[in-house]
Amino acid sequence: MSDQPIDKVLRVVKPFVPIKQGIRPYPNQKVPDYMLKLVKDDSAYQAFIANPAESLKREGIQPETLDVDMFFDLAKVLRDRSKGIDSIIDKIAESVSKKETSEGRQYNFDHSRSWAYRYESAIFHERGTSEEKSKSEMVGTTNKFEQSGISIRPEEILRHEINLLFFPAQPLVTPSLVNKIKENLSTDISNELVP
Amino acid sequence: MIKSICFLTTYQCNAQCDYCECSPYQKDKLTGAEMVRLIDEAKSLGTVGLVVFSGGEPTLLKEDLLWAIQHASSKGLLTRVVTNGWWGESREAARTYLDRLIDAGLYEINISVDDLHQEWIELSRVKNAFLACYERQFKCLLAHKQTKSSIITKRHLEEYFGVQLIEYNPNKHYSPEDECRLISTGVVIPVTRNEESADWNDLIFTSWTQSCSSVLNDIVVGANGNFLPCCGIITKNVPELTRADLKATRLIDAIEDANNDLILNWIALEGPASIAQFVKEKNPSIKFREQYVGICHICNEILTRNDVRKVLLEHVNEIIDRISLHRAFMEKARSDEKLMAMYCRT
Repeated sequence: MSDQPIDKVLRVVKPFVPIKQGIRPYPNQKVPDYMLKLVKDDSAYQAFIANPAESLKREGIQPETLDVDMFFDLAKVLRDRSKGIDSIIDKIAESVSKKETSEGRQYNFDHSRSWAYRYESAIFHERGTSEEKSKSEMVGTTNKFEQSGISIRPEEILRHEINLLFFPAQPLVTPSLVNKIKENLSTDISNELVP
Repeated sequence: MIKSICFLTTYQCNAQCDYCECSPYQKDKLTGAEMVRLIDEAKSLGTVGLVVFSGGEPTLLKEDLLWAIQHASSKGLLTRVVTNGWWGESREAARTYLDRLIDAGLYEINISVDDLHQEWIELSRVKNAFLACYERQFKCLLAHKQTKSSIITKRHLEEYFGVQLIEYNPNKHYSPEDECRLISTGVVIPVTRNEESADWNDLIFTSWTQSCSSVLNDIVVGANGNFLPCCGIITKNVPELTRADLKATRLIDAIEDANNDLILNWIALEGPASIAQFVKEKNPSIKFREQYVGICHICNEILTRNDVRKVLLEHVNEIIDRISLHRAFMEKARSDEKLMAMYCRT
């Protein structure tokens, strides 16, 4: 097969060879349980970094049954992704078009950081959605580099946040939903068969 | 959660835009009976509330389109037609056709309008179609794509239509006076037809390194009956994204099959940029662009380059464990609303 991309419209030269591979059910549920713990619990994560093998054993996971480097890398990726509200503020701040009326930052002796922004107008663009607001305040503080914050936002932004909380754009379908639908379908079929 | 099903009702279109696979010469189309059956299957999923009829140009299906709208509407589902507005030859013709759609039970309409479409469809037709909606206060959104040098911009349309348009925000609720004059502007994604001739200096770039929130959230049915588990922008020649024949397979079985596919999980959980990174690690001689227009753009590239696919075929086994663990984590974390809110927006 040529290394050149094929014409993708009408002149398909050769069909692609399908990459047929599935995921597999994770055999030891303690591993994803522990991953969730590491993502949510900072002290558990610190303990894991300090001594991965021992930490895994404490959770009932034999380190030799696991690719520890892969596990560590994924934990880091997921923790980065699951950072608190300040990562959103930071992210928004990177992509914001705004007219600020005041801004303040303060670095404290205890390695914490405080900030306050006031906007007259702002437009956020993020993942294909946009948010606009005419007036807003943001205040927050970080402690020992672990961030937390408070944002005071107009109602429409708050509604967006609530929507994300209750209807997050979760990737993929939950397998339990597929099973439930299949059960319902088979029930419907058997009901139809009843004279 | 699957909230909508979108039919690419036909790949035939009276336009032949750059970066789209549809054309007047493509004859694939779904029949009314096929759409009706799949609407019933989608309804039985229990989560679907919206049926979208897109294409190609769905209005070329004539009576079959009206039948399918009528059927979906009778099942309590909302319906949307995505059209290029060619039927607005005159204001009267636009009113007549729109009335037929509304009578069939259509809930809302999207009209494509941008420099690419208007090489083929006169803008005056779009104006007539839009104003027919506007005067009836019928829900209408102008689906608009833009590059840096686009002539057809929101302002251009406002001046030509004589109507002030409102930028669509999916999180806002609009009054009846406003929801008939919405515009949603996206970027042009240079994939498929004439992608090689795209002017890179003219394109608008968005973020492209995240995971894809479309895979298995959008259910798209191709004009030849294939199951497409994502938004459908990418070429239909990619076997991972153009899957089961729904003429022979139940929708729920196709969903389950896709739901367990490694490549789709990888795209959904870690994103196509992560796949590109993996390929680069395995074969450093493979080069990628420094920047992509968006997630679909890089996804199209990794899944249509033979050198990339070759590396994936050779090494895909090495990633099964990680993606399986990530998926298992996802299922554990899914009920944690706060965590998922953060997880899904990065």
